[in-house]
Amino acid sequence: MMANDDARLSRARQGDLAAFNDLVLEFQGLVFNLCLRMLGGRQAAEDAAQETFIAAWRNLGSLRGEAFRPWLLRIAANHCRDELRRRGRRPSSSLDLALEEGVPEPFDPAPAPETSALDSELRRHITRALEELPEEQRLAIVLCDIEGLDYTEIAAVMKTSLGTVKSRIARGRARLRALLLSEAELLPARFRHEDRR
Amino acid sequence: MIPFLKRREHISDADLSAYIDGELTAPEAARVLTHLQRCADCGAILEGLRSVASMLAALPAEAPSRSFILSPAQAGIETRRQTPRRFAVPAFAPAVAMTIFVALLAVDLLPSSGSSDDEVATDRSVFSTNREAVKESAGAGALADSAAPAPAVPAPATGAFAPTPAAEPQTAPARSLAPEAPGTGTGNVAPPAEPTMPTLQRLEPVPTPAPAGEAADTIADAESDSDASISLLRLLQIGAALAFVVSLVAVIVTRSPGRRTAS
Repeated sequence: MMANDDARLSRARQGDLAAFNDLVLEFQGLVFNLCLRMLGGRQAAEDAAQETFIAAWRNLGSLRGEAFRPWLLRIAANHCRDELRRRGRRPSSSLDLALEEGVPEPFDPAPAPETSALDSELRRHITRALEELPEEQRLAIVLCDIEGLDYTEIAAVMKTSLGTVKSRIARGRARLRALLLSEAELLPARFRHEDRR
Repeated sequence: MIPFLKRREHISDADLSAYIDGELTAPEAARVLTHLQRCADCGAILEGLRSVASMLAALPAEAPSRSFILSPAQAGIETRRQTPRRFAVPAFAPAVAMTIFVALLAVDLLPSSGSSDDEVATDRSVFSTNREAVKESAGAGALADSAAPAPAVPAPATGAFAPTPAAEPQTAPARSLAPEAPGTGTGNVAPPAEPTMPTLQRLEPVPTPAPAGEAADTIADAESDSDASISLLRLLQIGAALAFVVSLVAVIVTRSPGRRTAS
């Protein structure tokens, strides 16, 4: 957390909505992508992200000494859990639709550099496999491999130990790999290793 | 099959996974690296985990189709302040209206407890136009019954009894005249007479003897003035009562949705 964030955060905590909205702009991509990977659908992810920021604003007072980012991501993760529970475990496959339709990017008109790294067919398989993971493994993997957090921060988000984070990520990756291997013909050649066990 | 002893030497998936992420301590990482140099199996697993991690990392970051910055309403700031303000009905409005109403009632009852001189005087100053007009008509020989220039409601009443005191400028006639007033006055002025009206007019004679020395036109004056002031007082009382009811309803209506938005 940068000193700049601290200044905005303390102003936000004093009721400065503009300062809080600066933080929203900085973290909305992170929050939205977490929700998107957890929930699968763009609409559900946007709703969850909006709810996250509203809840964060209302609960700024409960943020004592903790870093803002893991706290915010925990709120987002909780909203995703609630939403998944509400719709009965299985996430919708609306992400497939969204990927087929193409993604409107009004805030970032330039295509992301990674877009070409994976073709859309493979991306669809990865996201579908991700949805098959147990919730906690998926959250750990998304935070680690998609959001790029280190284990300490993931432990802070998930309110668990480093050891648990480590094993969730490892099990999640292994499971994901097994799921993807079942559709091995889609995978890049370097991915088609036979599992030892 | 991997022999038990050899199996024990392998690196766990968790450590391999953490090794990819650079999350092992330096000695742990060194141990993994040493092992990987002579164990193809662990190397294969490592590559498998690494490819998953790199594929996930290669997923493009999606951009939301909208921004999530909070509007003041979403932040719950303006709604609490704005909703009641838009209707601008202060909570004390009904109390103020009720106070005014009670005050007007008190003014109404004032003559019974003391001299009506004050009231009459006030009325005169307020309705001076009316008074001047009545004076004119009375002074003009009191024949002005048809031409009574007194404006508004009390005109017929004035026309009816003004001539008498003009002819006999004494107290007695005035006294005898006054009780008549409720009949003629109210009958002419306001047919749907309110209950207090006759009482008030019956009370008039009591104070009128006091300015006995004054000219009869003054008495007639007072009569017409009190008629005007009574009906105006009545209007003000009704107005205050209406204001009380309206403001009370307005406060109830505007406060409850305000509370709803706030919660």
